[in-house]
Amino acid sequence: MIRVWKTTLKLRMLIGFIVILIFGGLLISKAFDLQVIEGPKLRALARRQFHANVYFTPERGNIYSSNNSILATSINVPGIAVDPLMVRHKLKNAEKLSKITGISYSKIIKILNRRIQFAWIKRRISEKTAKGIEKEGIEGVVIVKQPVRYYPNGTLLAHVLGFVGIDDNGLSGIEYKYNNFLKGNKRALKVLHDGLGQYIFIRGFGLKKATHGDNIYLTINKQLQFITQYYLDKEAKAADSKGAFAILMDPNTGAILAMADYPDFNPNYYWKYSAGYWRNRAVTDDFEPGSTMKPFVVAAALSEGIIKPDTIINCYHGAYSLDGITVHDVENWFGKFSVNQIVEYSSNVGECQIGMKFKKPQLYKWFGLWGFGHVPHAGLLGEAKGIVRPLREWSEVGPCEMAFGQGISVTGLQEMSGLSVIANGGRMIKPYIIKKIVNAYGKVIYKAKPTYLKRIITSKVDKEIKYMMRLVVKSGTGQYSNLIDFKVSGKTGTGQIADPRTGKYYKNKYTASFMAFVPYKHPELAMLVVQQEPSKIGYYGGAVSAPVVRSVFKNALNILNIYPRGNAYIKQSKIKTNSAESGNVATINSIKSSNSQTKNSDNNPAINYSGTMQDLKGDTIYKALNILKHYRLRIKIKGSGYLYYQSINPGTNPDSEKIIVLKFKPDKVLKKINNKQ
Amino acid sequence: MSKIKPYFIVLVIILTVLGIFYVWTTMESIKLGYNITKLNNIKSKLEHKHKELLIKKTALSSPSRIYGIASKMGFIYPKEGEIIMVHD
Repeated sequence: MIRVWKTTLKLRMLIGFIVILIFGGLLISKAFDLQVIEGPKLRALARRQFHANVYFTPERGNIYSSNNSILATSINVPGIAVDPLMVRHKLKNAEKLSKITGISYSKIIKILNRRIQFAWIKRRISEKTAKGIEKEGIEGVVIVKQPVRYYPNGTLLAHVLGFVGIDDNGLSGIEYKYNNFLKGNKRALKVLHDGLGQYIFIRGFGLKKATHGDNIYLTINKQLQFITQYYLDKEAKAADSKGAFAILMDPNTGAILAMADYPDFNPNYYWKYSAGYWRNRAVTDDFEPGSTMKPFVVAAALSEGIIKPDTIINCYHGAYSLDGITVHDVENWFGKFSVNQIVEYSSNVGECQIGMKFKKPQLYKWFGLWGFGHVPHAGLLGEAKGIVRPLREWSEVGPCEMAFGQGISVTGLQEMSGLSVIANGGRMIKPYIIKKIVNAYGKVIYKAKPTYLKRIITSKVDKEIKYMMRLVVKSGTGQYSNLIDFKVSGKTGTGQIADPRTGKYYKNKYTASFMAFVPYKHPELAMLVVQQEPSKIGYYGGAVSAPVVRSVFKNALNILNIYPRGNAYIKQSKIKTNSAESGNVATINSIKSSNSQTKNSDNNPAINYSGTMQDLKGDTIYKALNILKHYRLRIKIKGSGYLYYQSINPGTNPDSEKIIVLKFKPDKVLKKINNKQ
Repeated sequence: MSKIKPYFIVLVIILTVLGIFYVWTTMESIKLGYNITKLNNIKSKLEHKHKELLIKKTALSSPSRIYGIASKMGFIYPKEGEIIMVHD
């Protein structure tokens, strides 16, 4: 019995062993199949199911003004996309889509009937429309958000900024020139996702996102840009000019503070304007400068010792013939003029004779020194180099004509570079518009510094030419740019426009320009305004362009906190207005004046005011301040209305005092006192 | 055999604990992964909102708009001589 049991046990064990062996073998072979033979394929399949590549589209960098205000940015705007193969009930859905979007039914049905998997119905739609589409929940129709370039200030600085195409690539201006900086890098990130499609960021999967584009900071001051654009537009319209441009620059650093073009365009809708509107005339257009060339030639002649400011030249009553040409002046009373007067009254005859005093290579060298015929490299798109003909092409009378700005072409930016040399004391400085470039992580990758190239004229010559340009504004052809509080120096220019087919000058087409700087002795601002083919008001630079300069200077100096103090000025770094105590206490302080600036003040009675304190009783704040501005006193104001208390008594000498406290209140008796005054 | 048995039990317990710990960390890691996703989404939304507000602010404070409003209200740039200088 035991033997039988043992035998069957052995048999059962054998069978069990064989079964285990078979199943084990099968398992091992299956595992081998899964791991080795099918392994790579299955692993790839798993990767596809659980891993995903998430593409992070880089954000295009912003463009900022010098005071960190956004000039260009990107926003995500919804668009409607469709997979036509997935859309059912096409007729009904096309009707729905047409109703929400306003796109014609036939156009939508045409898209829905296409045998493709992706098509745009409309790229830029409003959030409201997008919500309407999402609410309908049409299968196959999706809302896709895409970055769109947005210029929040509209037309402001449009010609410099340029614009971006539908593929997020810059097409013009800064957007085009610095596209590689602004664009950023697209990057894919591997992530795990679950059955619901939710991404799971776990270790081993980097969190490196796309590198967003760099942010570009310009030297442009938004407020100065606005007033420059505003006044240029206003005057160009009044003069019915075909085109116009203006450049405002800091002549001491070369920083371009404003650059405006007329007519302007809105870069948010650039496609609505013809290509002619997009051009930045200030850098691309060259033109015969006319008389604005005169200070440069005169400064060169003074430097070479050819003339002196008081050298007398006969202007032959406005007509001078040489070598087959006759040079005319605007006026026929011009007789024997000093060089100062030649510049002041802009005599072509006098200037022609100065030009003829040069040896040709000498004058050619000076044009090069002023930067004419060379690209300024200010960092803008399409900078032209103008036309300075090679020496061998100069006619005998070439120096005469070029001395008063004919037969030579310059760009606005080149003239500004030259003007800055005169304004800053004689040093050639490189104009620039890119202040800094900061990458997406906040690291400054480029920072501009003023680049002084070399000294062009001595400070003696500089003073002489500055004085001549001051005369132009004071009593010469540029009087429309005169300011009451500041001394402006400048030069008018009226260039004839040549017919490109015949090479002869049109009889009625002119370029009216005016270049100037302010304040006269220590300039803070330099500006050029050029109007192309003005047909109303007049065509002289002094009449058409000088008023723009005047308006811009007047307001720009306020914006920059540069205030007059007699013939000198004060550059104010900060104004603090405190509200303290119970009443209104306005303390205006932190007003700093540079010694060098005040030292250079002319004999101004206002500054050296001395006398006894006046009785201010009953005066308004405005009236009291108008009187007190002549005293060297710090003023504290309390209250409002009419003055009832002044801390320095009337009739006393205020010289030993530093501060005066004024108290005001609304009072009928005081009002009567005020009215009697 | 009886001497090896306690070690074997301890080994099994250690392995079990380690196994449970491994599963727990993996689960926590996945949970954290979800949290990161969620926080990333919130971050993106907030960044987007911040940018939207910044753009809105820029558009609202654009000089041409301010000038238009100021003109309607009768404000003008001060004329020459109207600015009174007070100083230290």
